Amino acid sequence: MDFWLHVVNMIGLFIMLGVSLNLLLGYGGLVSMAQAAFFGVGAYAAALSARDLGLPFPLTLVVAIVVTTLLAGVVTFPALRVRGEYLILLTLAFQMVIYGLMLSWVDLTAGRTGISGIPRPRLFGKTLVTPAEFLPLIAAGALVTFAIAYRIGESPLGRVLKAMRDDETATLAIGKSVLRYKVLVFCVSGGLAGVAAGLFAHYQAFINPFSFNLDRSIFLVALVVLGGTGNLLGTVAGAILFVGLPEVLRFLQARQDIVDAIRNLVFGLLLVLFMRFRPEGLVPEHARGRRRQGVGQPAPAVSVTGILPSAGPAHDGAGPALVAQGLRKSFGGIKAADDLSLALPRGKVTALVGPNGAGKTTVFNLLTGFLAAEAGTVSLQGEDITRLAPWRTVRLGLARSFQDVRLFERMTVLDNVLVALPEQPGERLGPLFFAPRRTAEAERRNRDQALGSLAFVGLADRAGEIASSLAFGEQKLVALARLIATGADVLLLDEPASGVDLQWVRRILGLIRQLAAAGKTVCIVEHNLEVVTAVADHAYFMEAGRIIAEGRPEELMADPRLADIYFGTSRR
Amino acid sequence: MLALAAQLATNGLISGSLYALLGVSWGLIFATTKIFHFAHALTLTVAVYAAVLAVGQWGWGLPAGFLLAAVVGCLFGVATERVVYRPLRRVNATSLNIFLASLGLLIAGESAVLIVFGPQARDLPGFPISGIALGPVAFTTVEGLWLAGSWALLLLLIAWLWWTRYGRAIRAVASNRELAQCVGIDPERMSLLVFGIGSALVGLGGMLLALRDTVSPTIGVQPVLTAFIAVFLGGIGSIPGAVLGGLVLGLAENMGGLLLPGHWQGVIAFVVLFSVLVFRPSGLLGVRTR
Amino acid sequence: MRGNRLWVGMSLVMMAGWAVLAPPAPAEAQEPVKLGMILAMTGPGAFYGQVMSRGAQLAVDQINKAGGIGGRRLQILIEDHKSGDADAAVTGARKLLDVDKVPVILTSYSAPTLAIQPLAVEKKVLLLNGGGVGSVLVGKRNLYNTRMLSSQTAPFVVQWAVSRHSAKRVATLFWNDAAGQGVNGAIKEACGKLGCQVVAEEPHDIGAKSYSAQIARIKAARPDVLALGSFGDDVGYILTQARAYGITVPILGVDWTPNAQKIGGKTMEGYAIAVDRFDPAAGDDKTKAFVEAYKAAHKDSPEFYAANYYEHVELILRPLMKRILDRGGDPAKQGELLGEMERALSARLKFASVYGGDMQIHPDGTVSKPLGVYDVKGDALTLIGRIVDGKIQARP
Repeated sequence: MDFWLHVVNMIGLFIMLGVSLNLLLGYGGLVSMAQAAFFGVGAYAAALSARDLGLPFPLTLVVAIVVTTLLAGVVTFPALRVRGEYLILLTLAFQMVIYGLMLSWVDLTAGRTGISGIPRPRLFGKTLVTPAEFLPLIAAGALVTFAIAYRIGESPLGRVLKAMRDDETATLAIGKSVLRYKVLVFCVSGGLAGVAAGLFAHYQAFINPFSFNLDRSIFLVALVVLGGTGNLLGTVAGAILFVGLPEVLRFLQARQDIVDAIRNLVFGLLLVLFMRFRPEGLVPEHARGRRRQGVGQPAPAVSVTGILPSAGPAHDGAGPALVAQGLRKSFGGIKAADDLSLALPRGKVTALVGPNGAGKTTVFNLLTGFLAAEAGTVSLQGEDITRLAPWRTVRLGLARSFQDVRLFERMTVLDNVLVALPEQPGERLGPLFFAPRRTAEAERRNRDQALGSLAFVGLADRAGEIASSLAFGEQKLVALARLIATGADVLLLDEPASGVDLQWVRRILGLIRQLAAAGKTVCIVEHNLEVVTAVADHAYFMEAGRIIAEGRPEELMADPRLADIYFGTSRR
Repeated sequence: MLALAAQLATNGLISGSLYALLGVSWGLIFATTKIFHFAHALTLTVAVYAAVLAVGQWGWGLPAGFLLAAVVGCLFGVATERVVYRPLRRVNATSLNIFLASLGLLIAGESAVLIVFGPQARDLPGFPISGIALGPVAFTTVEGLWLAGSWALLLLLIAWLWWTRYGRAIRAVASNRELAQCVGIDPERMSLLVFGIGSALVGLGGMLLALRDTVSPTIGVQPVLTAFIAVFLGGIGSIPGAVLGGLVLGLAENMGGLLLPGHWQGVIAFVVLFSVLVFRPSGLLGVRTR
Repeated sequence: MRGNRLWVGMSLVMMAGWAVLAPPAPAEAQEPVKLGMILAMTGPGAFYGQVMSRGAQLAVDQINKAGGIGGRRLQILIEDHKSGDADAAVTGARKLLDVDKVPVILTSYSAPTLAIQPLAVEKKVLLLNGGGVGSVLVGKRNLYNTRMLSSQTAPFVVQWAVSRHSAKRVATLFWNDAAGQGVNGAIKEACGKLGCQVVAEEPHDIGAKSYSAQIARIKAARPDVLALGSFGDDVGYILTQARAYGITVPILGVDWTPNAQKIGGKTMEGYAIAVDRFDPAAGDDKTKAFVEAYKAAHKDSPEFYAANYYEHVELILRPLMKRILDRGGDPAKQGELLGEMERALSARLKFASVYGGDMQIHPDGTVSKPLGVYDVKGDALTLIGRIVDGKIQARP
C-alpha cells in the first residue's frame, strides 16, 4: 500500500507545482522554464533551515515559501522587459544558473551528494514518516494550493492576468498596470511552488540537485500544456495521467533500461500531436460547463445614462476636457508630430482627419502615454498627464481604442468588458482572500454594469461567447463597450468604423452620438469623410505631423486645398 | 600567470569557434523562420549516431562519416520542418506551441534513439589524439581540427550568404519576412533551405564534438543550449553576431578560470546569458527592435 | 465533450499501449526470495548499471541452476535511478519494499543510496552498496558498503607518490561530489602527515568532457604529481587531455575501468591506482569460477563492478540466507536478512571475497579488502605493490 500512497503523494506534489506554473503560464501568459529551480531553492531552504538551524516543521515550510516568493520577485524585474522567446531563454538561463549553483556551491548544498537526514516533521505530537502518514499533509497542501490558485485564477484578478496574456498593450489601455500584475503573479507562483518544495524536502528526507534540473522544468511545462493552460483542473488531470499512470508501467515485465525511454517517447509524441491537433490541452480553458457567464440571461433594457458609470460628466468645469500643446515626436528622420496642439471640447465629438501617414494614431499614442513625447504637454481636466504611464491616464479618465480592435481573444465577450471596469476589489489579493463578501458583491454589481455596457452596444446576447469567434463589426462594438466600461470621460476612438459593413457603421455612429450626448468627450481618428461629417462637431486636419486646419467638418470638406491633400490629387 | 592566461585564451578561442559554428547553425534557422527549434539537439544526435554506426560498425572512413553526418543532419532537419513545423504553421500555432512541439520532438526522438541503440555510450573511433605545443600554449589535435573545421565552415557559409542569390534571399527573409515576400521571395522555400543548411552544419559540429566525447542519446542538448547563448549574446538575426557571441562565450567560460575553479564554467555561460538578456536584450550586434 | 473523452482515451491508450508488447511474467511454482537492485540503468552511468546487474544475475542464475538455497530460488528485481536521480530511486525503492516486499536492496551511487536509506530503516531491510564510494555512506543504519571508500584508499596514493616519486607538490583533480571530495580531503590530510604540499585543488563536474580550464590551472601550479579523485570514463578523458596539454608528471588515482582505458588509450600508460581491485587474471578458485561463468554468459571479462555485485549475492547473501534457513527462519521476510547480517558482524564473521582471501565488514558499514597498487602496462593493470598493515610493499 505504501507504494501506491507514495504515488498519490507524488501526484499531490506535482499538482502543487503544476498549478503554480499554470497560474503563470496559463493565466499570465508568462512561460517559465525555471519552475524546477524555484522548487529546488525552496526545498534547500526548508532542508537547511530544518537540519542546520533546527527550525521546527511548519516554520521551515514558511521559510521555503518566503524564500521562493522573494526569489520570484527578484527574477521578475529582468523578466518584465522581455516576452516570448526572450522570456523562455531568460528563465532557462535562470534555471541553469540555479542548478549550477546547487551542483557547484558545495559548501552550502553538498553538491551532487545532496542533503540527507532532513528531519521528519512532527505534527500534533506525531512524527510523520511513512507515505500514509504524509498523505493528509500533502493532500491538504495540494488542496490549499489549488484553492488559492483557483480563487485567484477565477477572480477579477485572474481576469486581468488572462487579459495580460492575450494582449499586454490592450491591458494597459484599460487602465491596468501590467507591471504590477506580472510581479504579483510571479511572486504568487513562486510562493505556491514553495509550498510543494517545503513538503517535498521533509517527505523525501533527502534532496539533491537532480530533482530540480532542466528536465524537470520542461516536464512541468509539458504537463501544464498537455493538461490544458488556463484551466487548473487540466493540470490535475495532467498530473494524474503523466505522473501517476507511468508508475503502473513498473509492474509490467520489461527491460528496465527502456521502460523510462518508452514513457518519454509516448510523452514527447503526445506533446507534438497535441500542439498540432489540440493545442488547448486535455481540459480546455473554456470546457463545457464553464461557459456559463451571461448565457441565456435576458438582455436588460438600458438607457444610455444607466450604463455610464458616472451619469453625466464628472468634470463639468469650463474649457476643453483635454488640451495638448506643442507635442513633438520623430521616428528616425520622419516627424510624426511637429509642434502639434489641439483641444477637445467637453461633451463634443472631435475628429482628427488627414491623409495616410499624417500621424493621427501617433497623436493618440502621445496623448495616452503609449509614446513619450520629445516635447510638449498634455493636460486632462487641467491636470498635467504628459509623463504618465498609459494605465494611469486611463485611471484619470482618458482611454483609447485601437484601429485593430485588440480584444482579449481567448476570453468571453462579457469578460472582455468586465475586466475593464475600474477599482475592482477582487483585483487585489487582500480583499480577494479576506473580504470575500465585499468582493462578491462588487463582482455582481460589475457584472450588471458590464452587461449593461454590452446591452448598450446591442451585444448582451453574445456575452458568453469567445471574443475571437465574433464578426469583425461585432468585435468593434465589444471594444467600444470595453472602452465605456473603463469609466473614462475622454474617449479616443481610432477608426471606430473602418473595415465594417454599412449597417454596423450606422450603429456605431449612433452610439458615439449617444455617448457625447451623455456628456462624454470623444475624439475619433477617421478616414471616411462621410463618417466624420455625420458624427463630428469639430475637426482637426493633419498633414505630416502638423495640424494645418480646423473647423466644422463641412467647412473643411469644402476647402479644395484640403481635399487635394486628402485625395492626393494636387500636383506637387 | 601570463602563461595561464595565454593557455586559457587559447582554450577559449578553440571552444568559442565550435560554439560559433553551433550558434550559426541554429541562429540561421531561428532568424529566418522564427522557430525556437529546440529539436536541433535531436538533429545533432541523429546525425552523429548515423556516423558512429557507419564508422564504428560498417567500417567507413572518418571523412565519409563526416559527410554522412552532414547529409543525415540535412535530411532530418528538412523532414522536421516539413512534417512537424509546417503543419503547425498551417493551423496558425502560436510560437509557444511550436516551441513545445519542438521540445516534444526532442524528448520523443532521444527516447527513440535510446530504445534503438541502448543507453550505453558509444564512441567515434579513428582519430589520433595527441598534443600540439606552441610556445607556452598547448592543445590537442582534436581541438586543432575544431578550430580549422569550424572556421572553414563558417567562412564558407558567410561567403555563400553574402555572394550568392539564395544566400542574399535568406538574409532578406531573416531581416524582414514580409518585405522579402513582397519582392517575390518564397519564405516557405527559404525555410526549407535554412533547415537543410543549419541541420547539416549542426551534424558536422556534432561530429567535431564526438571526436572528443562519447556519444549518448542526450549528446545534443548541451551544444544546442550553447548555441542559444551564442545567438542571443550576438543578437538575433545577425550571423556575424552569432560568431562573435560564440567566441565571447568561449572566452568568458575559459578566462573565468583565472578567478574561479574550472567547474564553474557551466554556470558562467548562463550567467553571461542572463546578464545580456537583462542589460542588452538585443545582443552585442543586434538591432534594438523596441 | 466527446472530443475531450477521445483525447483522454487516446492518451491513456498510448501511455499503456506498449504493455501489449511486454511478455507476461512466467508463473513460479514456489515464491522465490526477491532481491531488489536500484542501479543506473539509464543516463551517463548506464554502463555501470549494466555490468552490476549482470554480476548479480550471474550469481542468481548459478544458485537457481543448482536448485536454489535450501530449495529456495532467488529472483532479481531491478529499478532504475537514472544515474543519480534520488526521486526515481525513492519511488523505485518504495515499489521494491512495499509491493515486492524485498528483504534486501543492492544499491549504487552515493546520492540514491542516501535517499533510500531512511526507507530501508523504516522497513528493516538490508542495503548493500558496491558502487558508491562517498564517505557520507559511513555509519548509516542498515547500509553496508562492500567497496572500500575513496577516503580509505586515497592515503595510499599519497604514500606511493611520496615514496616512489619523491613528490613535494601534489595537485588534485576530482569529482565535485562526496566521492571526489573524500579523495581530495584524504589526500590533503595524508600530505600533511607525509610532508608534501597540495598546490592545486580542482573539482570538476561528473561526466565533464573538457578539462582544459582545470588542466591549465594545474599546469600553472607546477606539481610533481597529479592525483585524481575521478571515476569511470572521466579518468580516460583526463589522462588524454592532461598529456596533450603537456602535463608530464606522474598521474595517480583511485579508479580504473576498461572503458576508461579504451578512451585514454596510450596516454593511460603508467597511470597508477591504489584500489581494492578485482583482478580477473588472479588465480583464486572462486575468482576463476566467476570469471569463467561471466565470460561464458557475456563474452567479455567481468568488470570490477560486476564482481562486487556477484559477491553480494554469492558470498554475502547466500551464506546469510543459509544461516536463516538452517535455524528455520524465512529469508524472504523483511528484517530477517538485516538481523542475520548484524549478528554476523557482531560475531566478527568474515566473508569470502572474489578478490581472493576474505573481506571484513565493519559495523560502521565500511569494509576491509585486499588492497593493492596497480599501474597500467599495455592496456591492462599490473600489480606493483601490496598493502600490508597500512604500508605499501613494492613488488620488484
